[in-house]
Formats: sequence, C-alpha cells, structure tokens
Amino acid sequence: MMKSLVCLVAALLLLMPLSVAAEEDSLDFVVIHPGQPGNPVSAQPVMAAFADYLQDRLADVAIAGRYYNRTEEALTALASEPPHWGIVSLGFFIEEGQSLALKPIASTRPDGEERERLYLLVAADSVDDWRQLEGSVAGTMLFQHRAAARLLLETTPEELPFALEGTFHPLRALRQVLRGELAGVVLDRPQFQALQDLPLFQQLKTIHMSAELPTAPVVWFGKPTEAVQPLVTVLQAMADDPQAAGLLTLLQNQGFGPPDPCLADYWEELP
Amino acid sequence: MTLKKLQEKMFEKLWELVAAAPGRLVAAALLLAAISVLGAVLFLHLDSDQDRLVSPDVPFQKRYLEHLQNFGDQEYIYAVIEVDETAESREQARQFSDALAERLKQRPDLVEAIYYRISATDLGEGFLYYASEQELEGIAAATRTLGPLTDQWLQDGRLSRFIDQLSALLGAPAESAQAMDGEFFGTALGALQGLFDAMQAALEGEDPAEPYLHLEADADQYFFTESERLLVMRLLPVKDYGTMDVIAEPLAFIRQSLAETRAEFPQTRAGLTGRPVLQADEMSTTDRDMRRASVLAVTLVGLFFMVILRGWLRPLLIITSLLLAMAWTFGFTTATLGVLNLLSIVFALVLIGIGVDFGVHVVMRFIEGRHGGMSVEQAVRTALVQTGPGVLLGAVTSVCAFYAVLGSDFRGLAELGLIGGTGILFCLISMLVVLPSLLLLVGKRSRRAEAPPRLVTVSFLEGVTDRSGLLLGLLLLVTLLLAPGLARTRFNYNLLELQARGLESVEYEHLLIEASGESTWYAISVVEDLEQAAIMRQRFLELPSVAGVESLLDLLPKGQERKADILSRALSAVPSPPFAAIVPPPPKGAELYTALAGLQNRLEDLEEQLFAAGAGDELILLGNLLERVTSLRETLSGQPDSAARLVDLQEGLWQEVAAGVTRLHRWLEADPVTVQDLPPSLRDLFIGRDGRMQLKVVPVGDVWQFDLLEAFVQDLRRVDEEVSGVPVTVLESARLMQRTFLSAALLTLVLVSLLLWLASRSLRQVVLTLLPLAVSMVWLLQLMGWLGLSFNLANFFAIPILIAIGVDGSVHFIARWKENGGRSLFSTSTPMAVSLSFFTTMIGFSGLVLGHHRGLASLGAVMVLGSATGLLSCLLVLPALLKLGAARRLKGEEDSGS
Repeated sequence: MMKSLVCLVAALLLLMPLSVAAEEDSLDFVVIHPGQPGNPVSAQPVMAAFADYLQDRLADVAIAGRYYNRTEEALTALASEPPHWGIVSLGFFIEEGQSLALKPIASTRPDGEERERLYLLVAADSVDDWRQLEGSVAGTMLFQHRAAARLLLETTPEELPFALEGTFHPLRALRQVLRGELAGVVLDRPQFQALQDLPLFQQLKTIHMSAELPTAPVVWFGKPTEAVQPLVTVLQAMADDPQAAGLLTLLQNQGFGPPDPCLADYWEELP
Repeated sequence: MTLKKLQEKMFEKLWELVAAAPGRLVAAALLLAAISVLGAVLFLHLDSDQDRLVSPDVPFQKRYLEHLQNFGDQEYIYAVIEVDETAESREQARQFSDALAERLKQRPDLVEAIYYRISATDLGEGFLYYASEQELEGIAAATRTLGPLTDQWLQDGRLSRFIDQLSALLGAPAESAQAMDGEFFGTALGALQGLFDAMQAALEGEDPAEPYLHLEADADQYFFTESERLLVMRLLPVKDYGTMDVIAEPLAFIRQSLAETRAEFPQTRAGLTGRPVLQADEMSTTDRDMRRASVLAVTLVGLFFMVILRGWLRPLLIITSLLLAMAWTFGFTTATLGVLNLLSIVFALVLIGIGVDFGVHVVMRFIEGRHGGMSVEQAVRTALVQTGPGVLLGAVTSVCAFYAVLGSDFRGLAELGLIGGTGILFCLISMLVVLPSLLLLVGKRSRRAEAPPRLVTVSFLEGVTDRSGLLLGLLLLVTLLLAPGLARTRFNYNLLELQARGLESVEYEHLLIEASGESTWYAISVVEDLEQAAIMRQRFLELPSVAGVESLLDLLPKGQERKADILSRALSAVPSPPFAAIVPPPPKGAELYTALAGLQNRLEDLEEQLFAAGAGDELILLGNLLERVTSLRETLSGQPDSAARLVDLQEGLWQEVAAGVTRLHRWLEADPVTVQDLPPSLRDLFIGRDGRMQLKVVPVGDVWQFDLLEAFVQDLRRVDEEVSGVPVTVLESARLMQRTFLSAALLTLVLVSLLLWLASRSLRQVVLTLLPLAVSMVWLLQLMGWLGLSFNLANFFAIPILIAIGVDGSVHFIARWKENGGRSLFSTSTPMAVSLSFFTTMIGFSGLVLGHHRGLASLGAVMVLGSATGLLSCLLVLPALLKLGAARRLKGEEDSGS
C-alpha cells in the first residue's frame, strides 16, 4: 500500500512541470526596438492585430502584445509585467539578453532577408576612413552603444574616434550630416535601401559596411516551455499564409525563420 | 438477262449516244454547269456555325442550343496579360488593359462587351457589402475618427481649418491596424497632392483642376487570376456566321488594337485565346494549308498526268470533265440544301481525290487502244465499253462510303456524305459521257496530225508477281514483322493538339491552364432559383474534377446581416446630410501659412517613420507632397494676399466634401444586396430569358485531354444529368463523330460487299476484291503505330476515302484480269491507271503533310500512307493471289485431264 502511494506521488511529481506548461493560458508578448518610430500607444493597433492573428491559431491561449521603442521604458515594463516571449532588436538582445534570460526561438525576416547589415554613411565630401571621422554619429540602433560598436566595427565605444548617438529621426540625421551638424549616420539594411530611392543619396557616401549580422531575434523569456513549439510553428508559417500578408507588412517583416545559433556568442564576445 | 449482259447493253447504248452527238452532249453539260454555278453564286451560302454541325434533335445538342438561346452567346475571346510578381508589373497590366479596352470600345459594332474589371459603382449602392468584414471594420474605425472632424469642418468651411485637421489626423494614433493599410495611405497622399496642386495653381492666378480630392473615384478590381500571374479580359465579339471564320473582322480589329497597345507598353506581354479565337485561328491555318496543298496538288498532279499521259491535252480533258462535275455538284447542293457547312465545304477535295480517277481509267484505256492501232472512235468505244463497268462499280462503292453517313446525327457529316456521294455520281456521269465526247471531238480534229500515244506500263511487275507463292510469303513475313505496330496505334481526341504549333491562341490557352489550372471551357448547369443554386454549387465544388463554380451567388455578398451591423455602426459616426450651405470667411495668408507649417511638421515625422521602416515607395510619395507644401508656404510667405484667390477653391472643396459625405452616407445606409439590385450587365450573365439561372462549372486542369474531359463530364453528370456547355458538347460530338465514322466504315463494307456480289455473283471474287483493302488497312495501322501517328478527329475522315479507292483499284484489276483471260496483266494500261489513281491521291494529300495545322498534316500523312499501302497491296497482293488461284485451277484441270 505504502509502496503504491510513493509511486503515485513520484509520478505526480514527475508530471507536474509538464502539466504546468500544458496549462499555460497566456502568451503575452513584447516588441522592443529602441530607436524605431512611434510609441506604445500608436503601435497598439498593430500589436492587437498580431495578437488576434496568433490567438486565432493558438486556441485556448490569451495573447496580448505591447510595443516599446525606448530601452528604459521597456525594462521597467518587463520588470512589472514579464511577458512570455518577444521580438527584440539585436542590440537589445546583446546588451540585455543575459540578464533577462532571453532564449532565441526564431528569427525575423525584415525585407525577406535572412541577414542584417549596418552601413556607416558620411557626406560625399567627407573622409573615406572611419578612423578619421570625428564628432557624433547617429542611428536608430545606436541606443545600445556597446552592442552597436561591436556589431558595426567589432570594437568598443571607447576605442572609436567618434561618439555614438541614438536617434528616432535617421532622415533628419542624414540632413544634419549634409549641413555638417553630424559626422555620420548608421543605417540598417531596410533604411539603406529606402535611402537609395531618395535624391539625398547622391550627396552621401558609404565609408563602412559591417559584416553580415543576425536579424532581430524572437526570444522566449526564461526557460522555454511546451508552448514554444506551437508558437514557433505558427510564426514560421506566416510567410506562406495569405491572411498574414497585411499583418507582416505592418510588422515590417516578411516572415519568421529558425533562430540564429550564433546569437549567444555575442554575449561572450561583448567587451 | 444477266447483269453482265445488261451492263454491256447499257454501255453500248451509252456509246451510241456519245458517238451520235458528242458536241451537243458537251454543250448541254456546259449549259448545265453554267446554270449550276449561277445558282450557287446567287443562292448557295456558307454556314460556319460549328453548333449547327450536330443535329439539334440530339439531346446534348438540344440542351446546349436551348442554353444558348436562353442565356445568350457567352463564348468569349480571352485577352491574357502576363504579370510578374512586382507591383509595377501589376500596375502596368492594369494600364495595359485600360488602354486596350479604350481602343476596343471605339467599335461596339465589332466588340459587343468587355469584362476585365469591376468598380464599386458597377455593383450599385450596396457595394460596401462586397467588402470583407475586416475591411468594413476598418471603414467603421476610420469613420469614427473622421466623422466628427468632418462634421466640424462642414460647419466651419475654412481651408486653414481643413489643413489643421489633417495635421491632427496625422498625429493621432490609428484606431485599428486596417487604418494603417499602405494602399489607403497611398490613396490619401494622392488626394492631398491633388488639393495642393489646385491650391498652388489658384495662388498663381490659374484655374485649378477639379475635383480637388477625387473623392468620387472608386478603386477598380481587375480580373487577375488566383495565382495573380495573369490579368484576363473577356471580350465578346460580334459573330457573322455568313463568313468562313465567323469573327474575322472583330478578331482582326482586336488583334490590331492589341498590337497598338503592345507598342504602347513594350514591356508587357499579352495575347489572345478562347474558343472563338482558337476556331478562327484553326480556320485560318487550315484554309492556308488547304490553299497551299491545293496549288501543290494541282501542279504536281498536272505534271504527273502530263508525263504519264504524254502531253497536256488529255489531262486538260480530264480536268475539264471534273470541273463540270463539280459545277453540277454546286448546283445540286444549292437546289437541295442551299447551304455548305464547315465539313461539306471540303467536297471539292474529295471529288479531286476520287472523281479524277474515273477519267484516268477511261483515258488510259483510250491510249492503250490508240497505241494498239485503233481509230479514235474504236479507242473511245473500247474505253467506254470495257472500262465503264469497272468505273461504274468503283464509283458506286465510293458513293456507298459517302451515303453511309446520310442518316447520321452528325449533320455536318451527313451533308458532306450527300454532297460528296452525289458529286461522285456526277463525276461518274461526266467521265463516262462528257470525257468520251471530248476525246471524240478532239480526236476527230487532230486525227491526221497526232501520232498514236505511247503506252506507259509497269510490266516489270509481271515477273515479280509470277512467283506468287514466294511473294505472298515475303509479304506475310513483312506483315508479321510490323505486327507490334498495331498495338501502338492510338486515337487522340485532344483538339488542341490538332492546332498548329506556335499559334498564339494555343500558347495562351496553355499558359492559362498552367497559370490558373483552368481552361477557357466551362460546363453549364441550370437551376430554378438561388436556393437550388446554392445546393448545386456545393455539390459541384465537392467533385474532384471541379476547380470552381461561377454563379449568381458570387455576385451576392456573404454575411450581409453582420455587415449591415458594422455599416450601421459606421453610419452613426458620419454626419447626416443635407448640409446647410455656409459662407466661410475668405482664406487668410497668415492662417494658411501656419496651418501648412503644422502639416509640414507632421509630414516630416511621418517621413521619419517611413524611413525607419524602409518604406521607399511611400517615402517618394511623401517627398512629393512635402515639396508641394514647402512650395505653398514659400508662395504664401512672399505674397500673403494671394490667399484671397483661394475663395472659390475653398467653396469648391466644401461642396466636394459635402457631396462625398452624402455619398458615403448613402452607401452606409444601403440595404443588403438582392438579385434585383444587381446591374443588368451582371445579372444577365447568369439569369436566362425564362428566369432560370445558370451555374458555370470550371474544370480542374487541362480538359483538352480527353480522359480529363471524360472524367469531368462524368463527375458533373452525377450531380446534374442535364449538364451542358462546351465540354459536354465537345465530348459528345467527338464520340458521335467517332461512332459515325465507325458505323459508316462498317456499313460501307457491307454495302460494297453486297454490290460486288451482285456484280459477280461470286463470293470468291468479293473476297478477292476486299482482301487487298484489308491487307492495306492492316499495313496502314502497323505503320501508323511505328511512326507514332495517331488517329484523331481530323484524319479519321481518311478511312472512307481509302476504302473507296482501295476497292476501286481491286475492281479494275479483277475486271481486266478476267477480260484478258488471266494473261499479261502488267502489259496493259490497267495497273498503270490504278497506280495513277493512288499516286494522284498521294500527291494530292502530300501537300497537307507539310501544313502547319497538325490535324490536317496528320490527315495528309494518313492519306499518303494509306494510298501507298493500298497501291502496294493492289499491285502485289491481288495479282499474286489471282495468279496463284489460276495456277491451282490449271493444275486441277491438268490433274483431271490426265
């Protein structure tokens, strides 16, 4: 009798974590892109549409989404209302990922590309070597200085001859470069492509291009549970789902792929 | 009196008639021909309507014709415009279709209807019900934001306030994701650009272009295929069944318009397809091929005749006699049917192929007589009396082959049978009456000058056929070696594979099938009401061979009750008309300048957002708008008083917005759409004159392939036994045609056997006459198998002709064999005459082998191949059999004598 009871308790103990995971009834998420346009309120309709889409495909789970484009605001919100998963910028992942125990579960495909790249632009009549560049360089991804220096030039902010400055107005920053108010601007691949269609591009030059980088990852907060797999399946199927086309456009993304295995290496390499 | 005696007497009488008055006979023949030609020119007309080739009493055809009458002609020409995956390509396809439609609209007498896009106004007041619920929620959200602002502005009316409100709107967060839609954004920027251009023009003292905001413009939905690879325009040409290719003029006009549009958009690829074009192209390629083949045939046959018949005069006499017979046939057709159809129009070729052979036999025998030292009269008499019975029997067997289809439900074939059979009888009369008369007349005139003609024979075959046992053994061996070819012979029903390669209409039909998985064919099912339509639609959609069903149900929006709720919510946010006219104060320069500065800031913020998102296309639009705002500010800054010039524009803008809101109000309060609300141009596509409705059932895949077509129709009949439409008609017509050909071939064999038996009263002779034909048919099938040549709906027509000329050859051989008492067959003119008959057929049809139309080319190939096997069989098998039989008989007589 006692033996049977012990076995039953042991079995219950073994099954408990699975049950907890299986009973997960919420999959709230965050999108954190410091430097990107808008604010949590203006982006709310898109977050709601994304949540609705996921909820339709992941039955019996409540989903709500939030958007942050300022690091401090995001960190405060994460502390008070921790989400289950999120899409975060590469810089945010590198600088905050370890402390937040972020685990990459998928990757984004901005403009359909699997890899990201950063470009350093200066005025056409400016220097050709970044080592000679002085003053300030702005960019939407430069709010995380250490990560930005690592991703752009594989160095530290301290070793750079110029200062890094985060901005919400990259186009204005480019005009400031032309007026001599800024030394340069760092653009990501979508921004660089958009610039090529504008007359402004003729007055600028690219003096440095980063190595190929991972795109913004989809991350799980904490230890992944059984809820990850269904979520990843839905995300990765979005590219082929006609109903997701409009939503992906709003998310400025063309779908989701598998996680980049090298992401965690950035934590070790970060000076 | 025996039949033979009767024949002899009849031909003696005929000779007496010809000899007595050859000139009058020729004159009478010419007169009759002239009357016939005149009658045909005046009264005979062409009916190229393919739908009339089958009897209207056949159930499937009856249903199809009823549908055509009930729902009207809906056989479209499809203008197919190719699209790649870029937005520019889609836009270019739209512009291409608009430009083409504009050209086509110039000639409504040639192009009756054009369907390629649909706009909100086409769908009537309730068009918002056609939007999805998600889109309507977006509209509702937009009205919640815009409604109060519009209401306020309609009571204020100042231009500066309008711009302020725009700035406020751009700064406010969107209420839903739908409101952030890129297409909506582009449209809004375009509308503002129009307003700012008008403002700039007014400030500079020019007349601004109206309307300013283009609020009345509604987006057109273009008919892209589901794969979005093609934009398909449906064009309904005006048909003229009195012309050979029915849509010649409309098609030429459409093609010209297409070429002009292609020149305007050189990067866009487009072409035409659809049943009317395929038929017209088929008609034009077959017509071209037939002309080329005819010219080649006449030239080669003429040359061949001149070589074999030693000169040009006798070939000319044969051709003259043939032309007279053809003229009489035209007269007969005018008097009896009054019309030629798409099949019976080829009767002339039939007469050239078969009728000319009768003349060849008569002339060859005439030459033989003259060569043997006979006078002209003696030679003509011998030719007539000795060759006549064989020619008569050959002609009657050919007539049997054609008359065998007389009772067929395939009316086109039945009429060809009547005209062709009767034409052969006329050829017989002409070759036995007119040709001998002409030979007499010409012979009398040139009696002294002309030396006896040289006889061309194939005497070398005498030695070959003397070893009859060895020859037959060798032929049997060859037949056995070729035997596996029999199993490879197929019947190919695919009508698209009969068409010329590289034909644009064929290529685009294939493209349409590949890109959309559908063909231009659809079946028709008729239902009584919408309820039944819904049930049938569902049942059709469950079938594996059905790709889709078009019906009136597609024109009625779904979920109208829920949509009515959403629209009702949206309506509550929209200000209610009528709007009291107001007189706002004249625009002030400073106010406008400040308002534009505020707007510029908002637009620059927006520009940043778009840049950060990498939205290049929208950035360019926004850049253009910013340029205009900057320019307006500069103008107002330099000349603030010029703002007074905007009074009219301010008033016009108010009118435009008030009209726009009134229209929106009307759309939002519209009742759910019913069948009666649909515009007639759409309703009439599906509702017949008797009030019943049609469902258009589109097949999956390529139903030009007969097995897929059979499966499709079979599937449909499980749901609706009475299903109709082009797929059903094509399937049933093909089956009917095949049945008709087969039954005609069998009936011909029976009739010919009976005739042969009546003429000879000998079963042995019947078998001997038919055996070479049977052997030649086996060889033909074997060779077709080895050469990969299939039977199809075009070349199956060769079989009755081959039967006719095959029997004809045997009849003449046997008649001459008997006349000569079984001696020296190959030193007479008969084998050469028979060879000439086969050669003329081979030469006549060889021109088709090189034709572009694959159906006609295969008809040419089968005829050439069949004539060759028929010739070999006649020249080798029959004499060998005859000699073998004679040797055995002789041996038997010797045995009994000893």
